[in-house]
Amino acid sequence: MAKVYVKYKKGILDPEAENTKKALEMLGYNIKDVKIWKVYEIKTKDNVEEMTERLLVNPVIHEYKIK
Amino acid sequence: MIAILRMEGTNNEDDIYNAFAALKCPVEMVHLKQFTGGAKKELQKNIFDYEGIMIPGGFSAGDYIRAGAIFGARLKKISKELKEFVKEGRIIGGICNGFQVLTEVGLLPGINDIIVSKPQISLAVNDSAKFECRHVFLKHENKCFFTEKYEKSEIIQVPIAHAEGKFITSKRILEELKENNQIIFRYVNRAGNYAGYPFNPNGSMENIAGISNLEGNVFGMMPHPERVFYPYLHQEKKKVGDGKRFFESIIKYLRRGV
Repeated sequence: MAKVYVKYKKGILDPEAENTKKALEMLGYNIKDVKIWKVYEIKTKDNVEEMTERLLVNPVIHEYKIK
Repeated sequence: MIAILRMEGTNNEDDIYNAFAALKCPVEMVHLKQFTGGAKKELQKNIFDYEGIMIPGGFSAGDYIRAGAIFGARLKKISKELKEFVKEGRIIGGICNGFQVLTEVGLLPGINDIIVSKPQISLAVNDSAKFECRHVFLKHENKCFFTEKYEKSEIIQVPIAHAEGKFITSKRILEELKENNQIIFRYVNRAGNYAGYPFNPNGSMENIAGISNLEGNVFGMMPHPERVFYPYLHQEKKKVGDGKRFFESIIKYLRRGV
């Protein structure tokens, strides 16, 4: 099984992560940074890199790794 | 004949259909499968039977993965035909989710190539992290075939309804869009000035609300002109809906030379 990890590139604001950081701080935690990854677990024999580039990421805002 | 292209989750097709129908322009609903294959043989359609394709707003495929990504990836099956379609001077327009589809499928920005294989623009999650649903002011920066009937620099009021509308692209493409006068609408305040949030509702680069390709026959915008087709849809008293001329412009272009 392949795991595709997708997240925003450096410099692209992730409003969901920013809000999560704010919410954790409001609970009293000291937070330096929050990053959110989206993980796709894909069972396939086909080319995972190709399908990632075709559909799962937009290269303008995303970076990804496959494990 | 205009095709309104719908699939699972689009929800603005009726409004666009009604706008064209009210102006007596021949228009038809077409499901994506009827173009890309997968529909019954007798229901298959050929895109070249239409002068224009409009992609409506909504939440195609539930906005899963990214807004417009699945619609875009499915539409890519007919990339070759779409390229030819645009080359022939036929029109393709996308509103809201339709704009997201056009960037994902690579028909916008349409600078050097009619269609690119990897997206060069993203309409990402709004800076506010909210679904922004209200009227905004737009400045008509440059004309394209979809906006011929608006004056240059005119300010119009059109509603938005999106969570993913933040226009992001590379510096190089942004410069080219500006140089080529491809930026058609920008978000402004009532006085027509660029004014940041809430006037720019999503944090778009340079307040960009809508762009066209180099030739002006492919166009996408986040706000919904079909939702202000009639004057009573405005918050303020108007004689004519600000969105009406959008459809009149398209029809004028289709009837060119007739």
